[in-house]
Amino acid sequence: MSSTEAKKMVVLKSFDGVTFEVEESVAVQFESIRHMFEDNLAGSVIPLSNIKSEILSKVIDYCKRHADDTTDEEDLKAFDADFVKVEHGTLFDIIRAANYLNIKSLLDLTCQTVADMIKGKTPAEIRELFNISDEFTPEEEEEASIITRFIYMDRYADC
Amino acid sequence: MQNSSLPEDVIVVILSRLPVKALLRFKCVCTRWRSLISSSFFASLHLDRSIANPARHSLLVHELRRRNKHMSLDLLTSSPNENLNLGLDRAYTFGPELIYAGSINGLICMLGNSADSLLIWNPSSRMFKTLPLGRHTDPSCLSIGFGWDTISDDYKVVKIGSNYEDGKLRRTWSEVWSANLDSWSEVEIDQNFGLLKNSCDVIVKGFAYWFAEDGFESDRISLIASFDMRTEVLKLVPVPDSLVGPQNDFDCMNWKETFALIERISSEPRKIYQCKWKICTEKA
Repeated sequence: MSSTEAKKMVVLKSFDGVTFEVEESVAVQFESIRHMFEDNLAGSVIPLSNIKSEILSKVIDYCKRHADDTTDEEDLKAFDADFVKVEHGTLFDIIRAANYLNIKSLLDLTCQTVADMIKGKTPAEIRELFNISDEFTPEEEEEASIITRFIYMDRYADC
Repeated sequence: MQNSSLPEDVIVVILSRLPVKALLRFKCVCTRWRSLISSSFFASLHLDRSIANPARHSLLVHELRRRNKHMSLDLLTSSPNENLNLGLDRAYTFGPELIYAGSINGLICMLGNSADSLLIWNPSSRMFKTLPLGRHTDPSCLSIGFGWDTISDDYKVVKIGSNYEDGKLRRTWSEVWSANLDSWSEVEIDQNFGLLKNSCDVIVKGFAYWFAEDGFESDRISLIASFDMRTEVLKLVPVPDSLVGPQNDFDCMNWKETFALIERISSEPRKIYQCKWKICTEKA
């Protein structure tokens, strides 16, 4: 896979056993596992036991694109916009991976995407999307509905 | 691992990117989200992000002619957003004439008809907090300063009252309210002085400033009172001699986050006494 001797490679193994060989210059974006390949553990496989191969491959794609100095800003923006156009289950998986690997720019991008996606939704839709069970007491539910009515009194929605 | 659950720290990041209106609605999602959104930690995080993002800024316009009429102005598009229900109608029990005493971080401090009715209003969340009664009552003249102590992340309201007898300044007192403690404490005063307005003239970072008169010659501004929100110390510095005159031909402003005096000279551009006063108030 690697064409030149000079490039140091890092091997990552997904939860479903697929291995990915990544240039170290790309893998340095994985803040949380950086120490593992920087501590001279060259050649050893780094297991990522909670990331599926499908997601890991997307995350590596993202990091490759962002490690490439030759890409201009407009292209990168277009790439980012395209990158988050996925089904929400996949988006949440990418967020979990970005959070686990501590890739700040990817976490920013995906969290902003979710924020934009949810800001006009109702509490019930949010519960469904985030898989939250409704744990309010009847009194709290009543108070919540008063707050909701109060907010909806505005004629112009700003969100 | 649940398919669509996200770690709590990620939820915090997502929520901190939402407008206040959505957050109010999402308080009704579940108990966990409600306590998160209501926490002071989250409020600070959301504030930092909002300050950093000019798209979140807007200007609140209050029309005096039409009571209880507010309008929000989007600073990027300049498009007015009228017919807002910002919850202030409930505050009008304090009296028909509310005086704006200052605004910081989207919070507005207001003074009602008497010295006892002070409130802090958050137009974004449509909530307001009424302040407890202070130790002093019935001054002849009262002025309010509102500020934020960035170190302890505390909002403070300082009251300065002056008592006059037969038109003569008799006594000046001051007390400060802290939001963290929700109580008033006394502020030491070295010298009596009188204030000319119900609210401070300018708020700069953690300081509130007032033009003041020394009581010997009425209506002539000869002093500047500054209150440090962090140390709760009130200081008086003289206005430069060259400015003092019967017309009070000067004003003050927040100039790039420092206190600045502006001299009114009709034919020349306004002179700004900036550096001198920055030193006077921060070093002294």
